[in-house]
Amino acid sequence: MVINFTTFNHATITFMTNSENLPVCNLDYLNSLSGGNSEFEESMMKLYLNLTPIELDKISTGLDNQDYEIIKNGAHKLISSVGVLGITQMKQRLVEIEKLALAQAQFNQIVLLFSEVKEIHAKAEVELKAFLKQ
Amino acid sequence: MDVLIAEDDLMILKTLEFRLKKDGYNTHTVENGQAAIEMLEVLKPSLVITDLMMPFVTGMELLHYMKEHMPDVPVIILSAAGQEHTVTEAFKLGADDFMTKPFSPAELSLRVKRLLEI
Repeated sequence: MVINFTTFNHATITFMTNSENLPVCNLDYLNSLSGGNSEFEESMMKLYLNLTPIELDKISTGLDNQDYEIIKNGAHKLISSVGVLGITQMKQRLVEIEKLALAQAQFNQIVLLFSEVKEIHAKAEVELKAFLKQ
Repeated sequence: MDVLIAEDDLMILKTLEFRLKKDGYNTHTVENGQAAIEMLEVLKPSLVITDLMMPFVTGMELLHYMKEHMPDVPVIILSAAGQEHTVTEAFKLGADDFMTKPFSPAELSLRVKRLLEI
């Protein structure tokens, strides 16, 4: 399923949703990087699980205080990390949050996007923990 | 050959370190520009890879320092999407190459190799 979203500059972008319960993580990039080194792959997953909640908390604080600088920096920092684990849906929303925060526009839209980011992260967390258990 | 990597995103830092170690380089990692400058006072690397947005001392400031104190050491800039303007500024300041994050592992190997062969 896809949803359309109108940005602050009136462009329409399309986000994939995950109503079909498809995995949110795509580990192709990590696999290609690791060359089959599962120890490295696990360390990256653990790093994501440890670091992401801290960064999400920073964005939450930014939202509580309507501090666009903190929101922008928090989103920016997470974009590359989520890319490593192929969490594309989360990356798309973080990119949009960064843009909106930079423009200091559409605060309510940022709040909405961030709630989706947290949902996607929660799914990613479940997937990665299951992967680590295997 | 010694490669200094300055990046405040730990996941990106680890991926760069992993790939470059695999390629046979001695890697030295720091999480901000200030730590990079401190390390450059004791280490002369063959190459520096730096992020642009870092706390305390930015990638641009580090690049400026490099070009003033170690102009013969090549610098690769790491950028995120949407930082095209800053990348152009970095080239004006003397950056030798740039890569967008997350980087392609094969591309990283090639770019590093190319700069170290010059």
